[in-house]
Amino acid sequence: MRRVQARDEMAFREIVERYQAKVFSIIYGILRNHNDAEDIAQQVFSKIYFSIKNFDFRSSLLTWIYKITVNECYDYLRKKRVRKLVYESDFSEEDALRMENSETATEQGTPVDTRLAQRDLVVKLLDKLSEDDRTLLLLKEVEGHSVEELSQMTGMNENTIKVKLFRARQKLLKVAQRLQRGAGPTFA
Amino acid sequence: MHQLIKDHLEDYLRDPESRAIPPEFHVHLASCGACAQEATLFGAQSRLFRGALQGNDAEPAPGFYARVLNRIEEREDDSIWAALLEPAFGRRLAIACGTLALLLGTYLASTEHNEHGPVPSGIVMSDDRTAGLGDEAIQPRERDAVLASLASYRE
Repeated sequence: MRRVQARDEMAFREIVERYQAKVFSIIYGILRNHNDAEDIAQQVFSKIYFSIKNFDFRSSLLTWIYKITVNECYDYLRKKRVRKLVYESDFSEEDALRMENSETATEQGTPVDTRLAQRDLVVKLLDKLSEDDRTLLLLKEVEGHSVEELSQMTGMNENTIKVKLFRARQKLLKVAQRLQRGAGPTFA
Repeated sequence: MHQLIKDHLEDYLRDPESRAIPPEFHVHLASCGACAQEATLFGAQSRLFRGALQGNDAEPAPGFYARVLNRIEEREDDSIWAALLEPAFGRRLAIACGTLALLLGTYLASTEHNEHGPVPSGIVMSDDRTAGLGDEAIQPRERDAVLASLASYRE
């Protein structure tokens, strides 16, 4: 890390090679589009390169990179307003292809259109959380880290993490209930 | 939600059968409707997140590092211009240019004024006396001059 902070190109290359798959996977999980994932992954690593001197070692490098990655995705979503247009012009190629192949196609037992709607809902919900809470929840739910691991990764104690996660979950429930009143079923 | 459930909620959401969860957790959940309902909703929320955002081990195309380096180089080139066009920096630059122009102007004006040399104090005083006076102030002097010339004419 110190070498990267001292602008050592070989050390930076090691970081890119070690985390590129992870970063790409996170972005693809949120956006479901290879081209966008590639573009944002490049953006993430260039941001890491320019801001690594500010990394203060309070959290793990993975947590820091994770946070930058998720924030970049949300910046992108805000700019392009994908949330509102997900069924229109920004419908991803992969999604479109799957839909074309079979209207009743299923993956992991869930119809494609349902999965798209679920992803859209999750992206919308996560947008309502603070950057820290969003990162924490994703590290817990999507990456499957335990509270103990999160404590080591973030430098916060386990109780703080539990409280933060609980509040984030409660907030999301409220937002989902509000959305449910406005549209259709959410967590049902 | 009761504290006992809050304390072990994360373990429960990760794996409801986890050994880290004490038996009284399940006993409470079976007897408290409010906690049970909320835990069910949190469980559904948790499954939704896990299902919706899995990245499916997607990886970037080969040559990713080279593309990242290109992006960094582009940003470095942009950052020089961005620094100049950045509003705060631009404002400071404009203020600095304005101040410099003012200082130069003052300097030039003062050196030009000094080139004409010092003005004799008598001239300055006479100028001072006439400067800013209107017709009323000049008229008595003219009247005196006319009277003086008429007197000399009669003589």
